[in-house]
Amino acid sequence: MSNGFSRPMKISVEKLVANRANAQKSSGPQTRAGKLRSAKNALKHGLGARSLNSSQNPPLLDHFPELKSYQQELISLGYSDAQSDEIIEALLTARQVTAAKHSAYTDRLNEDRLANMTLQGLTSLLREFGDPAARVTPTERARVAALLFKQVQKDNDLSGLLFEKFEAHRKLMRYEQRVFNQLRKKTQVKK
Amino acid sequence: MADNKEIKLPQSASYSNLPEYKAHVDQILNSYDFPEGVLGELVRQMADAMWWVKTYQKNKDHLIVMKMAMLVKSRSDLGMDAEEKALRFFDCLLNAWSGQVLDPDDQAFLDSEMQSKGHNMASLRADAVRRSIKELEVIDRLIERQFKNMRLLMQSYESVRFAPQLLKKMSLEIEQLEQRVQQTDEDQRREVSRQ
Repeated sequence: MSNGFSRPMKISVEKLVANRANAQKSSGPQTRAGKLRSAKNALKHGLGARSLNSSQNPPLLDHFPELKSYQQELISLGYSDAQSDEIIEALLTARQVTAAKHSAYTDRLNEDRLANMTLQGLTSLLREFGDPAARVTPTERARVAALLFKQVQKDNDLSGLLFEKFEAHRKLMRYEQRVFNQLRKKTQVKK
Repeated sequence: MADNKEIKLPQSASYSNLPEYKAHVDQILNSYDFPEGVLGELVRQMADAMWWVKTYQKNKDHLIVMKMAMLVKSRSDLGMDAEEKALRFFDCLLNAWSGQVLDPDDQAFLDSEMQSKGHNMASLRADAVRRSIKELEVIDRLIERQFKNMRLLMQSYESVRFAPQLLKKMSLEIEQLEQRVQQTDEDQRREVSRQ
């Protein structure tokens, strides 16, 4: 893990502004496949989605062939078909929670972070980089610089970046609680 | 076109192939005699919860040391050789925190840097903890959650492991109850016929 004082290579403000400006020109996905893909852009982990019920979701179970054998195992242990279905569903959700936790804990890519610089540096850069055709008042430029500087500070505060990961896990806590409680409840042998 | 947001199999997900993680999971599986099937899955989940307890604990320490370092070496201090000094200070703090014995040079450097801001190790640590109390509370809640998860998973493990015995016991109990009911019925019939 890097320490609080290292300076990894990150995206420059010029590149970020250019990327954002180009993105504004985009008219979005045109093909059906592209639209389907972009419909999932805001998807974080899908844990808040409706039930994964295995019997209604055979393709999902196809991704996890070993879960099918678990189902047989549970039935042979004496669980009913419905119970084994519920246990498999809980196990599947538990796996998704685990995967979401691990992915939330991976370091944010350096390209997604802004390089360290001062507010003065940012302001002068915006002045140089700005489109001459655009009429930007000094107050507006200062506001943009202040916003960018906030992001620069956030991206270069490594203890803050570490805490971002904890925050992501805090948000996943309710799913963990739900799935492991469900698992315990479903595995209990019923009379 | 293929859907690139396809759900990744946790077995093939990158974290499960990390040697450190793999070794940790194997060690836990070994302590349970490498169970297979559903029990194996539950033990792997337990191992994951244990992994997170370790990770949170390690990163909690790291966060405190980072805060301690920031209290002595602020960003505005970073100059020509200041960054090198800051790095050295951070490393010394981390080593001292983890209980390692520092060489006299490093110890002297650490003490002088702390004294320059009117701190010693204890006061610096107290200040850092006080300033990051909110973050530490979140981490403590996360650790607590992992212990709860482990407890729930152990209960699930016991349920699945002893399910056949429990079911057999229950069916024997039911059989016994049925026999008792039958016996009572017969007794009643005999009583009626005698009267």
